Amino acid sequence: MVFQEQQPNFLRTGHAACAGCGLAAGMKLVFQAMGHKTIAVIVPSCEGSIGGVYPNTAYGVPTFHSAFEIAAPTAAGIANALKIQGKDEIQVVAFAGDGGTYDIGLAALSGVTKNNDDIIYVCLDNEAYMNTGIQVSSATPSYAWTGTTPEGNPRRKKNIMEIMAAHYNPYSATATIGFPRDLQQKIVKAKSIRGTKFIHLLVPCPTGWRTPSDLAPELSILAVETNVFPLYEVEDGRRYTLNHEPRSLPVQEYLLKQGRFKHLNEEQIRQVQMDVDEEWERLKQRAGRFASRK
Amino acid sequence: MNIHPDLLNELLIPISYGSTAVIETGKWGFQKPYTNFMTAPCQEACPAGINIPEFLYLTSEGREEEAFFSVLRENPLPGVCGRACFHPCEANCNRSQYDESVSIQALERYVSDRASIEIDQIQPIPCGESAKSIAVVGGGPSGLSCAYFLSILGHRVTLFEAKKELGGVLRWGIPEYRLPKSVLKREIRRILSLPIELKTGVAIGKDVPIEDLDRFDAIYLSPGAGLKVSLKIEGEAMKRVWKGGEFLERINSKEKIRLGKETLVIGGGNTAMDVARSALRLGSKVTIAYRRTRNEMPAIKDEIDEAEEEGMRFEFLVQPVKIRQGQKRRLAVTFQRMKLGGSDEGGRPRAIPIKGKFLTLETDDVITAVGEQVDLSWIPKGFVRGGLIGLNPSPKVFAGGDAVDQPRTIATAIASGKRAAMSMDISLRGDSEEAILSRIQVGNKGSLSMASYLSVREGETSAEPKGVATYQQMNPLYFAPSQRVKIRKRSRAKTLKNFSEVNMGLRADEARFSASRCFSCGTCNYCYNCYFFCPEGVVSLDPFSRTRTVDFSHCKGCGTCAKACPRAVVEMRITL
Repeated sequence: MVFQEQQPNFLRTGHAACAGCGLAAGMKLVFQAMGHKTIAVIVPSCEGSIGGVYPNTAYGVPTFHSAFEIAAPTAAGIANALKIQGKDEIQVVAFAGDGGTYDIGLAALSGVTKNNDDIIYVCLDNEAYMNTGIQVSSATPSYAWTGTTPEGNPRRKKNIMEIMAAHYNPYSATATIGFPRDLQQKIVKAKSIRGTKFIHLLVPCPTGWRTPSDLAPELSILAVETNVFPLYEVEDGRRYTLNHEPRSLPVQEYLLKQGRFKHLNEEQIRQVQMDVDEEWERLKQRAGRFASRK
Repeated sequence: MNIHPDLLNELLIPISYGSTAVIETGKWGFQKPYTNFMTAPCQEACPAGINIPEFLYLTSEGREEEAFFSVLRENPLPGVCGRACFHPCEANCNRSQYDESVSIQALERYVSDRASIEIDQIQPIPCGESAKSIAVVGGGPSGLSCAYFLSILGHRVTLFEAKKELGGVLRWGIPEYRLPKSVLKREIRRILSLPIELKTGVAIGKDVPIEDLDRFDAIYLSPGAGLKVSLKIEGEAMKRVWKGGEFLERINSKEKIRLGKETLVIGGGNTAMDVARSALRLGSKVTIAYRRTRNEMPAIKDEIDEAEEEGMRFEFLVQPVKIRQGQKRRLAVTFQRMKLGGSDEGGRPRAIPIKGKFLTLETDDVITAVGEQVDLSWIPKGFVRGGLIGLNPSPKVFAGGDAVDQPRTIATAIASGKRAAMSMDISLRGDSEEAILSRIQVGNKGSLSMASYLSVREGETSAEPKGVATYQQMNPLYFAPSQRVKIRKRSRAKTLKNFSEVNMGLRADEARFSASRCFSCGTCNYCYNCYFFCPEGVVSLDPFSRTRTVDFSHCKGCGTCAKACPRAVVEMRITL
C-alpha cells in the first residue's frame, strides 16, 4: 500500500527522551501508523519516564500506565472491555521494553498470546534496562558491555521471535526505525488482523549503546544490513517472509560503531559473525520453505 | 456537593490532561539543524547550468511538466542536448563513485520528448522601459540560445541567419540518426514562439554590411565554424576525396550521395564519427584513420562505442601524407606510422612519426574530417585576435559560440549565448556585471543560473550556493546499489539501412527509476529521512512549497537529521 508520509504526530513534543533517542522515534512512527483511534498501554520503562510529569503527558492518544510486567494483560483487558462495549474500531497497542517483554513480562505475554486477545504488542527493544541505568537483560547481545556486565555479556540474546512463533499467534514481525516505511506497513498490517500481534521493534539507544546522539537510524540500518537483525514476519507461527534483501555487510560495520562493543577482540567478533551467519541461514531456509505461500 | 466527574476519576488514578509541549526541551541542546544547500557536481559541470537535481527529483515524482520547465529555464534546446551533448554531467556524477552514474542525458531527452506540444508556448518577462533592440548574428545553438534568453528578459531581438534555415551545426552537421530534424524543428518552433524577428538567408558582411547593425543597442556575434580545414597534402583535390563538413551538409540536405565499397575517414573527432557512421549507412565499409589512439580521440565515447558496434574499423597511429590514384580507379592513401610521446600543452600525448615506417591503404572514397574554422573575414579587424573574437570586443558587441576561445561543443555554445544575454541585459540596465555574476555562478566552472539571475534582477537577496557537494559528504548507506538502465537501441540490422534514430530513449517506468537513482547531492529531494528519524517530531517538510521547518523550541539538537541526510543538506550549527 502507498502510505502517506506526513501524518498527525501522537508523540508530542516536549517529551523527556534523551537527545537522539531511537525509542522515541520508534514510538512516533508506530503511533502515526496506528492513527487516532488507539488506546495505548505503557509500563515503567523508558516510555513511562519520557511520557511527561503529571499533569502533562507526551501521548496524544488515551494511554494507560500499568505495572512493569503486565503490559499485555492490561491491554487485553482494555481490548475485551472495548469489545463488550462494541467499540471495534478502537485498537489497543501495548508498549513494553525488552526487560518487560523478554524477562519480567514473558509469562504474562505468553498467557495473553495463548488466549489470542486482540492487541498489538510492541516490544521496544533497546537491548538492556536502559531506564534504570543500563543493566543487562536477556535481550542484551553477546559480549555487549552493560553496567552489570562490565566484561561483556557472556550470554546470547534470547530469540523472542521464535518464542512468539511457538504460540502460533496470527502475526509477529521484526521492524526497526531505520526502515520507517517497512515499520509502518507492518503496523498497518497488524491492525487488519484479529488476535495477538507482536512487533519486535529494535530501537538503538545512544545513551546505553555508548554512541554519539546522531547515530540511531544508521545503527538501525546497519543492524539489518549486517544480518544481525533481519526484517521478517511470521504468520500463524509457520509462514516466514523476509521483507528486505540485506547487503550482508560484515558485523564489524555494526559493532565497532558502538562503545558497548569497543572491547571486543577478533575472536569474539568472529564468534558474533558465526552466530549471525548461522541464524541467517536458518531463517532463509524457513522463509524459503514457505515463501510460495505468502 | 458537586464534583466534576474528571476530578472524581482522579481520586482513583491520577490523570494527565495537559501536554508536554509546554516544556521547552529545546533548551537542552546547544546546536540546531540548518538547511544548507550545495551545488551538485553535475550541475557545476553542465555548461548550461541546468538544475539537474531539481529536474531529476521532479521526474522521479512523475511531475514531468515541471521537470521540463526546470530544464527549459536554463537550456532552450533540451531535446537536442538530450541526444547530442557530450554530457559532462554524467562524468562528474557523484554516483559514479558508488556504482554507476545517473542517466542524466537520457532523462533530459525524456522530459523534453514527453512534454506536450501545448506547453511549447513560452512567455517573455516584460521589462517595460528597459527593453532594448538587439541583433543576434548566427542562428546556430549559440545564437538561438542568446535570442531565447534575451527575449525572455524582455528585449526586442532580431535574429540573422545566412542560410535559409535556422540551426547551424544542428541542422547541417549532425546526422539524422543522432538528432532527428523533427526534434530540432520543434525546439526552434518553441524558441520562435517568443517575439523574435527572424531574418534568414541574410548573410551579414555579404548581403548586409556589418555597419548596418549600428542601429541596434547591442549586437551578439556567433558565427559557427563553417570553413573546412584542409589536410595540406598531395592529392587532396582529387575526385572522390570529400571534405567532412561538406559531406554532412549534403546528406543533411537530402542529396543523393553514392559511395564506393570502401571508405576511409581521416580524423578522430565528432565530425569524423558523424561522417563515418553516415558512410556506413550509405552502404560502404568504413575505416577510421586517426593519428593517436582510441583513448585520445576527441569524439564522445558513446559515439565511438556505437560506431564500433555498427562494424566500424579503426586504424590508429597513422597520419596521411599522400593520396594518389590506385589500381582499378581506386585511391591509394599513404600514411606515416606514428607513436605516442610526451604530452602537449593540452595534456594529450603527442603523436610522433616513426621514421621510415609507412602504410598504404586502398579505398574507393576518402573523407577528411580534421576540424573546422570560423570565417572571420567580415568581422571588423579590431575585434579579432589570434583567429578568434573576444567575449566583449567593444562596449555594445558581444560574441560567443565557435568564434570565441572555448571548447566547440553544443553545450558550451548554448552557455556562451546565455552568458552574453545576461551580460547584455546587465550592461544595458547599467548594473555591475561582476557583482551579479558572482551571485549567479553555478559552482566554480563558469556556468550561470538563469533562475538565480531572474531573482537577483527582481531585487531578491538569493544567490547560488557556494559549496559543491562531494561524494565523501554523501551517506551511501541510504542508497541501495543499482545499475543504469540500458537504453534500448534499434537493432543493428535495421540501423544501417537508413538514417532513423538509433537510441530509442527511456520508457516512463525506466525514466522514473533512473531519476530516482539521483543522490540529489546538496539539494533536498524530500526523502523524509529527517522527518522520520527525528525523535522529537519537530521537523516538517512541504515538497510543494519546497520548505523544511524545524521547531527549535523543542529540538534537543541530537544531530540525527543532519547525520541521516544522505545528501548533506542539513548542517548542525552551535547556538548559544
